[in-house]
Amino acid sequence: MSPPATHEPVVLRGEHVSTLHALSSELSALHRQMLRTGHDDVRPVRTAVLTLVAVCTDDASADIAADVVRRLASNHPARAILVVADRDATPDGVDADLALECSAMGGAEQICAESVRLAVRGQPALHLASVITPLLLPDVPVALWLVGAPPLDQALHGEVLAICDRILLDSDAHEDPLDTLHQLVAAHRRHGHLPVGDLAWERLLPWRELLAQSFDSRDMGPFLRGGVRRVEVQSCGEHPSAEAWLLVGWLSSRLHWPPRGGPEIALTVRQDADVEHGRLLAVHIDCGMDGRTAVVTVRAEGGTTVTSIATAEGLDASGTMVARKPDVHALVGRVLQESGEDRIYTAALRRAAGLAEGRHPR
Amino acid sequence: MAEVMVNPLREGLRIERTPPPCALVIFGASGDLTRRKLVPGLYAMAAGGQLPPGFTVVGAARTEMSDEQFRESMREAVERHGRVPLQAEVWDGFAKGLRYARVDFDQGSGFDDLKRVLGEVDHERGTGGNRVYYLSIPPSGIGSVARRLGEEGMSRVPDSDGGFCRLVVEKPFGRNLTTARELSADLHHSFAEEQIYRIDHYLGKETVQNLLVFRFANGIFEPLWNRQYIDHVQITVAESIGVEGRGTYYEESGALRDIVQNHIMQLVALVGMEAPADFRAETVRDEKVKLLRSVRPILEEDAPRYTVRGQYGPGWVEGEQVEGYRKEKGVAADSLRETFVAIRLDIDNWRWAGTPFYLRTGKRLPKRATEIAIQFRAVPHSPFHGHITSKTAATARDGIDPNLLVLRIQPDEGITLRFGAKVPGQAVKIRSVSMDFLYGSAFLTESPEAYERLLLDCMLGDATLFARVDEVDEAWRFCTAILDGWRACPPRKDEMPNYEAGTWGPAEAHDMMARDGRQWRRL
Repeated sequence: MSPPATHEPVVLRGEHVSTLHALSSELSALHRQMLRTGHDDVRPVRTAVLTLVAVCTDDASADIAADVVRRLASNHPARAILVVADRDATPDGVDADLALECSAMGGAEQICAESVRLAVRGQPALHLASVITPLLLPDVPVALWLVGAPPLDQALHGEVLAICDRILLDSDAHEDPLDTLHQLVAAHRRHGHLPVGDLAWERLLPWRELLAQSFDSRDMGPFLRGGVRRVEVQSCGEHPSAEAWLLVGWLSSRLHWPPRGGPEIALTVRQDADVEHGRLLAVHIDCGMDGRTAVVTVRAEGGTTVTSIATAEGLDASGTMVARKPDVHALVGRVLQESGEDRIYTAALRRAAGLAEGRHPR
Repeated sequence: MAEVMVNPLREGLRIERTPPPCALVIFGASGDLTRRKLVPGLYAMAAGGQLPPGFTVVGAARTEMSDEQFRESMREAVERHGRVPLQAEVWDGFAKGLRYARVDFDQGSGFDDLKRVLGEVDHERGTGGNRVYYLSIPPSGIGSVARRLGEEGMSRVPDSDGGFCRLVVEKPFGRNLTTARELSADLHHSFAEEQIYRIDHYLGKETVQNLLVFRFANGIFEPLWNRQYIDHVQITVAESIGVEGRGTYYEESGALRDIVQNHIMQLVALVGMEAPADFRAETVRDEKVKLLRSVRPILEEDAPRYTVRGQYGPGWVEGEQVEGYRKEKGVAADSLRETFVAIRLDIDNWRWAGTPFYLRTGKRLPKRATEIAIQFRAVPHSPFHGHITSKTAATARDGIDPNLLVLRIQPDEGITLRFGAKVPGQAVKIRSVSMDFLYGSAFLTESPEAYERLLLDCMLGDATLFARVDEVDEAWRFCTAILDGWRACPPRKDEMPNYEAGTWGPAEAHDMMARDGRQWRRL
């Protein structure tokens, strides 16, 4: 390989290997090769702050994951293990392809990210933990990312939870989001903790912030203590999405609403060709207390999110913020900044499942 | 914070607090700072959802302007200087909260009109009497505006639970210890000390805040952070620009007042202070003040030995030919004003006795860089004599470079640790290598602009990153002694300029270090 003339990413690909044993020596060989081929003014920096295991349903989702890993490399340099598991494929076996990509950081340094792509066939696909464990980097956190909508049973198994510091998934990616929420709650019951980073929950972050902010003032704050009368959460699609359920679960758990007899909760849906299926469209909160009333509305409007607060006393305040389209790369990056269980999420999840149970007994 | 009520929806969010609705009154709203920093910063905060609905900016200045004209002028400022691109829908929402009142600070007129506008804002926008007054006006007007606000009853904290009324003051906080105290007395006439927020935008920088985290959240550095292991500390605030059209101001100020009294003394305090018991504003500021009180004053007769003044002449900076200071607009042709200063500062306490801090700042230096370098002591004995491949420091023992910890504040925010490593091979060869942490690339989140962070802190009532009156006094005590020493021994007219633009200051600065057997780092 000739020295890079500019600071373009440099990619070295390793030999295809068919045993896990051969993987680590092949990776070391790649790093040595990168150092030898480095240009005088470019220093490849070998670093990893985590092992990111991406379990993919097929090669297409593995390609998406590989792209996200590449984009995350400068902020979350990791050993990425992309696993495409096919329980039905024959013969049993594991194939691995390696790559080392070094991307310029703007100065003379290059951050080098390792990527291992595993094709796991047959029986080993039912024992993924045994395939992945030997490849984990010591002393750094392990994040397991379920790309797309793979079955949750293996990921939520105790053996996997024991080695993973974080499990990334998207509860809205599955066909039946309510079923996903129930599975997560069941896993929490079984294991006593649930270190899940749910991308649907991450997408709710701006909504939660704007709703929280609407009740910061001393006029509005008291409504949170028993003054909420009705909540309507509208999402895009044919059924209320996981996002919508999680948002009402969050409000209900944070404000300690009783499972029955609390404020009226309405989950409504609407089709909107410009909005992705499952995304929130609007949240309305009607408040009334001690003869005072107020309406808080947060709604998606084109590329912005508009918050408005109106009271019977004449206050009519509004604010508009940029609604950044949350791409997967940004969401995953944000989830990777946290570690362990998010107890606010767990409480919202449990309450959402409880509310759903009341409406749609399973 | 007592004034921010607990909101159960806040827990677990990125920002666990946002300020209650308030009116930010900017005195000097037609000025440069408002256009370049304040309003673009506030707009970025609005676009990021950090400001509450109802938040309002009231511009106050001498210029006759309607609300509409003020909005239009601010829109142009955001388009030109904003770090967040202007988006029509967001702007429309933000602009609803922009009002203007004509106030003549010199005549003291227009305060009635301002009061009326604020009353309307309280009613229409729900700001509930909460105020932040930002004085972005010439130093000469600060005391009188503060007094007038008091006389008009506008400095009173609203009676309601959690109400606030705060005053933000920009540097310079006086010209010396006496005038600083006079200014404080003027401010205290109308505002209690806890209402006053003296802003130093350096303290809003992420790396400066990280300094405390680095020192007090890592167990491995603090045991070494003392005279026993540290040989000396170097703090450099280098600018490649000249006075940028501010010649008249700079003639009055100079590098000592402009940079050392505030920015550098704050850095000295943060590097040298003891660990605070908690991160509350008063606890942190108490520790900073204790450190500043331990700084040894430079006696009049010692000024020539422990300080160096410089002024740049013509030269080449970053590939461009530039004129000398005396040719700058607003500068006297025979000016003796310092554009460079180097100081040896000693701290008389148990932690730092015998470990000097060397400070330098200047304009038209070869590059823009603000760095704090902790130079550790050399190893007491080296078994590797004759095995060294590189040697960069005069303090090296047997040629081994001592360990160096560099905290870079700008432009490449980060931390570097230099240590010796064996060069691979049969022979024992040692070379210095650097371990780098780059702030920008280690975290996905973009750092907020210093002004944004500080404005938000002020609205939230968090004064940790603002200077308290006794901090300002102590910094002035040190700097006023130097000014006295300089006055007693002024340079001859032909002694200035004494460094060429594009160099690291006058030779005397290097001599000062060399006398102590040390040298400035090459940046």
